[in-house]
Amino acid sequence: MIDRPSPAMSGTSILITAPEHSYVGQDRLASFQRISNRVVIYMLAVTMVTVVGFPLFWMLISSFKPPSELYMFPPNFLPAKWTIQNYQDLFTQTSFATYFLNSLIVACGATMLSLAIGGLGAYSLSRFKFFGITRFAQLTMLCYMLPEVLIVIPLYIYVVDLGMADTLLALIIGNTAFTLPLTLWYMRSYFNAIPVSFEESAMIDGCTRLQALRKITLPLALPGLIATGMFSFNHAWNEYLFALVFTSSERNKVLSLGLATWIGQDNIYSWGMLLASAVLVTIPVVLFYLLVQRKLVTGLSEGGAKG
Amino acid sequence: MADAAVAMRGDRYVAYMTLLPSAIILLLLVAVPTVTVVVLSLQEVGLGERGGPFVGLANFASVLTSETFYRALFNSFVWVFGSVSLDMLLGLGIALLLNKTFVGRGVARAIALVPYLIPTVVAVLVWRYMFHDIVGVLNFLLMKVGVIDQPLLWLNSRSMAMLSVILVGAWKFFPFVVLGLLGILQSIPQEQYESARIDGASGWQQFSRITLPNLMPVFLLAAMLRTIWTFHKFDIIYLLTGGGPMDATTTLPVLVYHKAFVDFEIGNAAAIAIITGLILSILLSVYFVLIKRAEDKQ
Amino acid sequence: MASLEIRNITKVFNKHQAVDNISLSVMDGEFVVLLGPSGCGKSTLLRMIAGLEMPTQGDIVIGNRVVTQLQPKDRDIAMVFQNYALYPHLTIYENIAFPLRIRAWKNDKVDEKVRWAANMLEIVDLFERKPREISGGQRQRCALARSLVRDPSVFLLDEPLSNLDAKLRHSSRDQLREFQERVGMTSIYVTHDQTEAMALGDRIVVMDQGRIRQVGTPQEIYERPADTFVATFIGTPPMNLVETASQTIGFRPENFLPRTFFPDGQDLVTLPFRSQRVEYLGDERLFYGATEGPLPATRIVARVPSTLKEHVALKEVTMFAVLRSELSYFDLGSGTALVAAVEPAATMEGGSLHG
Repeated sequence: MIDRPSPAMSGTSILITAPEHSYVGQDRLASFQRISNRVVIYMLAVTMVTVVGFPLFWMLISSFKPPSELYMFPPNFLPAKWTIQNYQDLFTQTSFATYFLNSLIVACGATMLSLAIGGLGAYSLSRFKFFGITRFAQLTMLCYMLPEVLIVIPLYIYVVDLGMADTLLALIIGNTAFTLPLTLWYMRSYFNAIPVSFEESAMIDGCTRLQALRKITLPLALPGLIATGMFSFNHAWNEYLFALVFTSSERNKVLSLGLATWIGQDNIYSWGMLLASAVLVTIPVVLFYLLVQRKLVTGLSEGGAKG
Repeated sequence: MADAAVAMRGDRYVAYMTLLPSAIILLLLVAVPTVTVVVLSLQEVGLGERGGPFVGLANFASVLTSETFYRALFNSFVWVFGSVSLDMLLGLGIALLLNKTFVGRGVARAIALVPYLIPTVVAVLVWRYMFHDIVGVLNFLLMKVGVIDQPLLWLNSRSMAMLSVILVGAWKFFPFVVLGLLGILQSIPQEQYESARIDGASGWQQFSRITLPNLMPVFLLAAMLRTIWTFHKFDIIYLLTGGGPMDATTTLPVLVYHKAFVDFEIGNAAAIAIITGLILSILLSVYFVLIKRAEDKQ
Repeated sequence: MASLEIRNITKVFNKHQAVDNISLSVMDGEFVVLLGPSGCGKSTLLRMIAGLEMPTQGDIVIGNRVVTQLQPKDRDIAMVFQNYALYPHLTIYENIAFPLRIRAWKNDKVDEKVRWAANMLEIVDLFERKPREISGGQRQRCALARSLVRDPSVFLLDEPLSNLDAKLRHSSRDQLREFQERVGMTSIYVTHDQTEAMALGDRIVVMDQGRIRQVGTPQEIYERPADTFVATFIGTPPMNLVETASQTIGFRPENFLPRTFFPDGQDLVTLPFRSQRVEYLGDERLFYGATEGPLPATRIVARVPSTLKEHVALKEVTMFAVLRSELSYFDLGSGTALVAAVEPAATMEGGSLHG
């Protein structure tokens, strides 16, 4: 905008640009920027989903291809011929069902133990400050600094000595030990967020401390228990090293071990069956996750507190 | 919550009793084994033995003078550095992306989380299929696009194997970073951005002046945790390559496994495990300093 | 309903003395307020009465039972917490029924009692709701109903009004007192708000740093504070304190008025007062300023009702006065109240002050 005529222009009529014009220009620029921002975001999102999700998509798709198509080059995208042959073969030709059952036993066992023991322990860590308790809470997380490979050596020696070699029990206990520090730490935070006054009120109303825990605190801590249970289950379901070291027979194999053995022998077991097994192994954890996601939202917003 | 230490009659008993099972398990299954490993490292232990003759620091000496150890050490560093950097970069980028609002964000978030959930075995399985030199879809796509003209030996060449392993590791674990960062990103109060916009800050300035400082402590914490866990990771590498080809991907944990359960030199294996732990502690102290500094800045 | 006795209760946390040798007797049906600033030990004392904390020394006696070693559930008490502690996962009905269910009462007896309590507090139509669905005032009534069903000997309240907003606080306060009078429960009420304490209590126990400063009716505490702490804690604005060479003299702002207000012939003490600032509050004006002249210069507040039309000019000296009978005297060192003025009374000769 010109507010004073420069000497060179004296005598010439001077155009003063109206403010409105430049604002319109800025408006157009701004909305263009906004739209291009949006486009970029969508493009990035689609790229991300594609890149991250592709392996899983490929796994799912390929599991429905007949063996001939699996070894084709160049490979098909979608199966020319959809088949569930691979899944059938899996159950008829291998001990997959046994592996699945074993994994289920170990995962459920370890989760329940971890929740029960860890839940109780976390309650103690949250509510009491007696000698050594705070120190203990701080130390437990140190456990995760240790490598699995380190602990597994002496644990293997134990397991053999106690005659528990090649048992699912060894795996259950081992996995419980592994997930315990996380359960303790997470549930402790969770209990910390539940006001003590609820328990105190219950104790005045007539409960002993343990009764108050059972009737009042635990129902309120349920979302936390579910979240931490999911972690424990997931870990035990996917765990490999302990299974590798502690078990050896076909009878006691878990899924992670079973699948791993097959991978190395891909001349014996077809890729089709492997992919089918991969899909089946993934389903429980994904399902669990989807189910649990909903529950995790309802929390302490129950509002029994505060006026 | 300092007053949570309720001290009613009978509380002491309840306090210790409820903690007892956890304490016992952790003591027996974590504390004692750790001590045992230290003891084992000072002994010569062979196949099927529980202990052996005390040999002092001989195991440590032989480990620290062996070429395989240093190769494994180098591999570990490459593995950790590559995998964690990729994790953090991907995690940061994707967290920022998922923080913006757009249609289908819920679905995108769910998908972004899945690699972390699936079992390592499954991830390995799928990627091996995709990495296959002949029928693998990756080679196919790359050749189709024209990036390469010969199929790559993803897992079978010494040069490519580590790269492939890093790639799979990053794919598997970046959601952990996303989870952590997303939580923080969503908790940064909008007012900070609004007042910055009023002050005339550009998008980049808003990012570097507001987002980044708020993010830094969690970012560093996530990086630290990823470093610890990646350093100790055994199964993903072992399953993908078994440590090969020819030790190209043998990291320290894989080496420990080999020494203990294949060569049956348990004393040596224990020594390596302890050295691994020590190296990690040094790395950690660096992180602690960085985190302290980031928190002070807040 | 029962009486409550606190005998020589002491509580030490990790070298910090929270409660220091407190003794108190509460009569059956009395409403006693524990008043004091944060950290004075009032909540700790309440929790020891409840059984949530164990005293380091001393005894609690409810009725004629020594309950010191008993768990809360065996003490026959009820307590309303600051956040009401209504169980979020239970309906209001089940919340109120909770203490009875724990004691394995039969369903029909439970129902009878719950309805009785709910009727008294007019919350019957809230039975099926959950705590998060009802308002703050309603939650208070539910908490009260839950306390009622047990017919407790003693009723404990831990700052139940402090989470309510100002407007609600007043009506809830009324409801509370009305409820207590109707039911006649021996009650111990903890608060840091002196207006609440004055309005609610039959007797007030003023506490500071773990010790009792004064126990008395609101009037006693206000007009005859036992020490400078009580004098300045109670009353808004607090009592004016002037330190002379021999004692501390105190007088309340509302007793400090322009000299011209007082009719002649009264025994007055006059003081020159220079006001710096005035707050006009509608029904009164607060003048903030300082004395000049014979007494040591001290910051003083004067509370002049708006019905008094005299004009008090700012930044100038006006003669103010206070009735000699309205003066309180405190010891210089300890702050405890003195019965009468300390010599030399030369400082306090009628009419004006010398020396």
